Amino acid sequence: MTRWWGLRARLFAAFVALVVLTAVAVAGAMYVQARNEILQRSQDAAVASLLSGLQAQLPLRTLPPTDSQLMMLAGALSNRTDAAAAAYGDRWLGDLRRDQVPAELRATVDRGHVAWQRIEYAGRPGLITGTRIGGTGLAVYSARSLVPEENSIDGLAVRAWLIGGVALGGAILLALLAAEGVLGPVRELRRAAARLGAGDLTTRLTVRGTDELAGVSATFNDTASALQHHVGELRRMESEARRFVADVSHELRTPLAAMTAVTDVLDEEAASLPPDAAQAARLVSQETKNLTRLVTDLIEITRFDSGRAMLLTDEVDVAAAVMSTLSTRGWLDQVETTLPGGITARLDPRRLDVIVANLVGNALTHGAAPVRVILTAEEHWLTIQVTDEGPGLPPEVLPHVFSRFYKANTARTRSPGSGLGLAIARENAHLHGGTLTASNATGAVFTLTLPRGSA
Amino acid sequence: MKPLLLLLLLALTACGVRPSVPIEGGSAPTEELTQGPVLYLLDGETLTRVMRFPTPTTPLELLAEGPTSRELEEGLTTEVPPHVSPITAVLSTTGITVRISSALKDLSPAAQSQLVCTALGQDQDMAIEVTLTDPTETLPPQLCPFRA
Repeated sequence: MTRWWGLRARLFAAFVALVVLTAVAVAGAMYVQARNEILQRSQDAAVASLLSGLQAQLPLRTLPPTDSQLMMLAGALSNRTDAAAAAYGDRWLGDLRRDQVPAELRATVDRGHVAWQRIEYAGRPGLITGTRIGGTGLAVYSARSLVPEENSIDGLAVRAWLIGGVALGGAILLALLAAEGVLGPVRELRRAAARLGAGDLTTRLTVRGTDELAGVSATFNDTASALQHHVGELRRMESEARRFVADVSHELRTPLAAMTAVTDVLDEEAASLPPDAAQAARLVSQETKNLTRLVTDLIEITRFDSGRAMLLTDEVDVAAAVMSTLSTRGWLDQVETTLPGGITARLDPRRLDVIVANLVGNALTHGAAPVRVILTAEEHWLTIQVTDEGPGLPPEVLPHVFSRFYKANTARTRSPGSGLGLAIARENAHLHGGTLTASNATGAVFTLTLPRGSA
Repeated sequence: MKPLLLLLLLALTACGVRPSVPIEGGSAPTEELTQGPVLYLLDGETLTRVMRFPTPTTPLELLAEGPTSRELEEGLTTEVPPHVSPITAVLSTTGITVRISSALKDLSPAAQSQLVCTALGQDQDMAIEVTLTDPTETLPPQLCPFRA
């Protein structure tokens, strides 16, 4: 709809309407003027010819005129192109018949006027001129064909249509050129805007001329520059923030290592401490472990953010890898597994371990038994599903479950996790070119899909 | 769009040569009778105006002479007898007095009209009265009955 009645169509219509209007006005006015002029001249000539022919025959030798005199008069007035008649009272003589002369013309002539009338006789236009001779009661009429005049008028009309048509053609050409002149820059602008929208902030237009379109192009360039500047600024700030987090995490690692060593000693000594002190020592030890885990997760996630995370792939027997993950953490007796053997893939085994451990750990912590791990494989993809039969994920949590530091239950602010586990698991899946999704069935269902690589 | 259509309609209907009503072009010409004598003969019983070539003879004398051979061929006659000659016309404030040499009682009404109209001549002021008179008698003033 908008396409059809677009700028091109509107420009086109305006041009064509303008030309048609102008051509009709100019050609029409000229045509009517010329036509009237031609008819006027022909009528004037007919009247002049009749009067001069008549004048040569006056005065009448006898009055009332005899038939032979009327005949002579009519004969003198008629020639190769004109037929003429002379009338006196009821008598009518000449090669122009009385019934060829309209009654209303005869009445006008009888009132004492030189008069003429255009008629159509046998389908052809003609002119009849008549006059009386004052004080004698004698009237003469002369008729001539207007076919030559009609031909030249028709010629005029044909030429008017032709010129109008040529002008219309020119106008169409001009309209197309003008539309192109406007639409070219507009198209360019649209392409540039699309490129800018797609993220190419270096997009700039060439500003040609000084018209309104050039102004739009200049404004577009200014906008793009400003946008590029702001986005650059934001990126710089973001990367600075990330670097700050990375730096802080690294700086925390060394003191934490020392603290861990100290808390290990405290743990061992806790039994010999008074009960209050022992509880305090265990609390410090636990929180130090949590802090260590948080810092480790933070360092991991800053690696993903800065793009420094690397895949160290190896040909992996997936069932064996999962079993190893479960046995390392002592979960084998809490988890039902369906792990068909012989499924191999090119994966980073450390990252697969991180993902599976995270999913199973979450299921064990937040879900309810039985927790199942199911491995299936197609030609190019393998899928690991971790399910439990707990209450599942509330619908309002589902979209945010992979967000960093998102806590499903705000009341339970202290949880053993760092709040980064699922985020890291998903980053690991993405790093492999796979996906990690969450949904609800009998309980929560986390589905990990990974490409099998060259295997 | 409406004026455009109207213009188009106008352009299409104004084409070619169309019949018209009678167009008046001023008043009709009148003949000017300055070239020669005018006299009145009879076509049957109709009074007929006749132009002659210029000649020194007065129209009334020409009338007394009768139609020329060409006029006779066209069927024109006269009832004015030749012996009315010599004949004279006198213009006065009351009109024209025509004096003939023969007796008025010999003249038919048509002959009288011929004389009256011929006396008026080419002025054709039909309101002027003409009195016919002979050596003994005078008729009442008459108007020329000729109407074109």
